[in-house]
Amino acid sequence: MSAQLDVATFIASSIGSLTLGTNCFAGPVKKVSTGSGIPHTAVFVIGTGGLQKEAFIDGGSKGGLSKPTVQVLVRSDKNDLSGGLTLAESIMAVVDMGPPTASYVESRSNTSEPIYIGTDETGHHEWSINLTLTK
Amino acid sequence: MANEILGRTATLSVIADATRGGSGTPAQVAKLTDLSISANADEIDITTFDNAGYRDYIKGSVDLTCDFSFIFEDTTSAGQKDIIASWNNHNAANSASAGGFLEFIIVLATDMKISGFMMVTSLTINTGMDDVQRVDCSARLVDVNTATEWDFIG
Repeated sequence: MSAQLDVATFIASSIGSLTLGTNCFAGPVKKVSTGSGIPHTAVFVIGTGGLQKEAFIDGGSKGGLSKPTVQVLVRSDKNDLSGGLTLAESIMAVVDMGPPTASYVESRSNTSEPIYIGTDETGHHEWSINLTLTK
Repeated sequence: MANEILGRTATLSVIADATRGGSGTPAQVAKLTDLSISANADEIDITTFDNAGYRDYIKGSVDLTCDFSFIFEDTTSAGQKDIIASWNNHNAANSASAGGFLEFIIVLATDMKISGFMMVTSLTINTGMDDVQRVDCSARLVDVNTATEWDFIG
């Protein structure tokens, strides 16, 4: 599985209010849509590539230590600053130093707390958690 | 076609037995991240008054050392275990007794190989805060088989 799906699955299984595919998604941000079932409060995990793989000297078998990066974007309910912050902090608590599966050695946030990035055009507050994983 | 040889195509394998070509099974050292071989020769000063102020030398004995690093695995990794056992003089993973010596073969390319025996003389375990655990080793290479194909000494 891709890192973004691994992390999204891990977040959904760790946070009681989140369900993968319902309000927690692997992929880019989706606009709120009642028709498509995209809620206001939602989490999106987007793969951002990562660092170059550290190749092993292994006879050309292409083994290596990977460091993929993902961005976790947390969107609050409309004008719900405190509710969104609480959700972002609870996600930070599970993903920072919490590898999503046994295939990963480590998951580290690049910051100590979620980064507040403001509101979107419809009044949803947003936070970003940027993770570097080791696999 | 490029004639250069990519560094990561090399391998280091060890056999924990005391006989060249013995019964042990070669175990490739897993997750190797660095490998260097250093060939040295003594310089013997043979200067006399006849050299008119300029020192003169001949070459003495030669020796080989090898430095390498790997990412430590907490699993069954016979090659890594043999390296650590060599430093400890403990029994190795793929033979009855290492006694500190390992038969080794380094393959730099298809027709560039060096084999012989090694003893691990230095072993450093690095546990960085945000990094995986890494092991740096130095080894003395002895009884090197110059009959093997190796462009530098063959």
